[in-house]
Amino acid sequence: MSRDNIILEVKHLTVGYSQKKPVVKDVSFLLKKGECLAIFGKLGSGKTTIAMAILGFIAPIYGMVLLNSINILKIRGRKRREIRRRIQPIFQDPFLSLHPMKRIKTVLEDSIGRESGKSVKRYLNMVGLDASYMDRLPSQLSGGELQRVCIAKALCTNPEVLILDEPFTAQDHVTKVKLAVLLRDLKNKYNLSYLLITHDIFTVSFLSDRVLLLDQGKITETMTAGEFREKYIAEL
Amino acid sequence: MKIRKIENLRFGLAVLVLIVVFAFVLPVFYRVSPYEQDLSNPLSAPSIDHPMGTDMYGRDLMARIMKGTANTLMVSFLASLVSLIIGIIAGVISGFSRGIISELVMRLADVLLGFPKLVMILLISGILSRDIFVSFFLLACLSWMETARIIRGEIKVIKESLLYKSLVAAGLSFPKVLLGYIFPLLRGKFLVSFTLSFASFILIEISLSFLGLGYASPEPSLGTLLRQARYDPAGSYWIVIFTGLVIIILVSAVNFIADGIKDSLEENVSR
Amino acid sequence: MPNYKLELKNLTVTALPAKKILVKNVSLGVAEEGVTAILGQSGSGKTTICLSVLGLLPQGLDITGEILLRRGKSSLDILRMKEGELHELRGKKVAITFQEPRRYMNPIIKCGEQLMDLVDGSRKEKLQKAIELLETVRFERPMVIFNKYPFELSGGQAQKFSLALALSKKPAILLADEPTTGLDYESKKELAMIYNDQIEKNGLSIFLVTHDVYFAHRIADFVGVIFNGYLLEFGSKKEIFSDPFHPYTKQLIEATSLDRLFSMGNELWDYNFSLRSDGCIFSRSCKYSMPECFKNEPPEYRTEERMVRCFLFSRG
Repeated sequence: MSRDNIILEVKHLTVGYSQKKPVVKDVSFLLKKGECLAIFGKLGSGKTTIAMAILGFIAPIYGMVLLNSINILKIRGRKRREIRRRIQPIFQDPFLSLHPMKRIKTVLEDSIGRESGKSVKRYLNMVGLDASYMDRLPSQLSGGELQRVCIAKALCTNPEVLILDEPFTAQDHVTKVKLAVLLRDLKNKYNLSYLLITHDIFTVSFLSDRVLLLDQGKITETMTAGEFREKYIAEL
Repeated sequence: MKIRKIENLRFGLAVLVLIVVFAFVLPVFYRVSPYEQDLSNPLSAPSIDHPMGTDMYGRDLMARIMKGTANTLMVSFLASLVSLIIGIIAGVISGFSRGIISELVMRLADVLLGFPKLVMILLISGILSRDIFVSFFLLACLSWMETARIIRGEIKVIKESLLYKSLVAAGLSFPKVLLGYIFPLLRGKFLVSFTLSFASFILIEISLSFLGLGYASPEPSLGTLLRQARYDPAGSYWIVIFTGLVIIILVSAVNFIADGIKDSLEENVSR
Repeated sequence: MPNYKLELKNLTVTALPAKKILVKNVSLGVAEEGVTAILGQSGSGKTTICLSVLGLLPQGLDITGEILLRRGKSSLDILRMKEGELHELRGKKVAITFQEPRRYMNPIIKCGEQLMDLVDGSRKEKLQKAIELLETVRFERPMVIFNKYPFELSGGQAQKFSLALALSKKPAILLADEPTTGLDYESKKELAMIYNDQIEKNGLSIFLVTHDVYFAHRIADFVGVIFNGYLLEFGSKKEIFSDPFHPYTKQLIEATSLDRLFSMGNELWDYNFSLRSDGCIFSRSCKYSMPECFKNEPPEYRTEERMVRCFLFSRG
């Protein structure tokens, strides 16, 4: 594994609300460019905490997060905002991720920011939505459509890494499949890297290349997607 | 139940609008001075010349009531605005900062809440300054605490929300997030806060001026007019009645509005 | 325990002001001693059907058809029942578990106490029965759960606990509305085992409403597929999964097979709003559609074991 290929590196990440009882214990892993790495674990295993730490919403007790070899946890101010745009989250509940009073157009424009030239329409098309969605409010869209908007919003900042935190768990199977296919195509087309955090066997099986098993805050196993499918296909 | 609350709100609003028109728009058409004395015509009953009669200095009562209402409304409005602004600033500072700063603001609020408001009012108006605007500004500075507390609470909740995290993740600058996203969500709270302050300040003005500590003669306000009415001889019923009527209508209207807003927001919460 | 059986006939639910059809002409039977599952996307009307069985729909809806509760030779129409009769029904003969159980529980009373409120007897007997119920739903340490408050339970625990509440009065029929939402695979496995326990030991009849195709495959005996308020297909689980008839069902089953998805790419159906259709509800997304599909609504075509609403099967 050549060093140039690694886009995200997490080293000895230990996160918790108190020193004595960390929720995430000494977690280390690498994410290669263009890869989808899944962190699979039961509810409460600490997966979401890892995501929050990488995104900078929780300060870890110990550990480093390197994006392109820069420790992003140590950076402050304006530079931090710039770097933030390179790692984008997709959360579980799209209704809660969007402002209820803002139209889709406004939401995307705010995310695009100063890098104009790429219109809102282009990003909507990327996720399979047409221009008619621009003037709508979140309350007028279904869950699946809203999640697409969230994906579009994430793409607006030209990210390198997407952190997918239980992205489909709130959706029904049909919508889940459509969204999973969309994400797969986007990854291939734009050479994105995904960190997929979920307890859903189907999503991991379909979307990921490598899988880390997380149990009570520690990584217990690493396997390829193929190995994962063999092991868990019966549990579906 | 739901219908009644909305009706209350609308009714209150309608009446308030009428009063505002009465105080600010009507004077354009009814060009009589509230200050001009006419000692040849004191305490005259309502007539065509003077639809509400005159006071003991011969001043037209209707003009005085219009101006008085305007004065009361204006100073209450300004004080409510100042109180709201300070409350928002304090709430935002306390909500977004962590640790000491956040706590300090809240402790300050607690201390000020502990001050007996009536005593403070009397002290300020009686001793510090007779100027109504100064007194009310100081009063506003003592009335921000409730608002601050509410805003702080809301912000603490918002900070944990997925929405906020998405915004921060997108790299949006703090002013943009605060003004563009958070404030719109708090609109309702701002409105309630403002309306309740407004109702409260109207009563404070009337009370203070009635005691002689607010607006000073010859400047009319609903409070001073009421004060004056005490000293007018019996028999000049029109002064008390008209002044009292306007006060009752205004206070009721604002209370209806405040109740209506409170109730309709509560409904949203319980859903 | 008497063998009740549930049967829906031509159930139609319309939201009045907008005249929006939530459920159209749904007829199906819920098997005794087994699981009958209704599969559908969010908003397809499945929860509406579930709630209508217990008269739990909100005001302002127009409901026609029959919901029959059969006991031996006699039957009662639930839709014609008065509030008093419905009260006798709820929880006692027909019980229900909801999608996010913690939302519907009293947060200030301990779990064990809530269970005890539902059973009879002296305090000692109630305590005993409550513990037994917790054991029935496979809580390994019932006393721990007994002393917890609902908000302290995890998703899986909450679903099991709500099942304990539902089973407290030994109902004949259980309505389960999206029980697997938010559950990880181990909890789902356990839930399936508990359902099977109840079916075998107590002859429970379960009406499962879900969008989790895998879970339905795991425990259902009969499966119905619902789309935008219409019941498109119904049959035994085995046949529906191995040989789906309706185009929608076909796509749904295909979407569960990973191998097919890997090779399939982006051919999943999408609603084509540009096509006008007064006919079949699925016509706008169907790749087998014929002109007739856009003009008339297909009727139900039945064999002994199956039902399909599709003109492709008009020859029977």
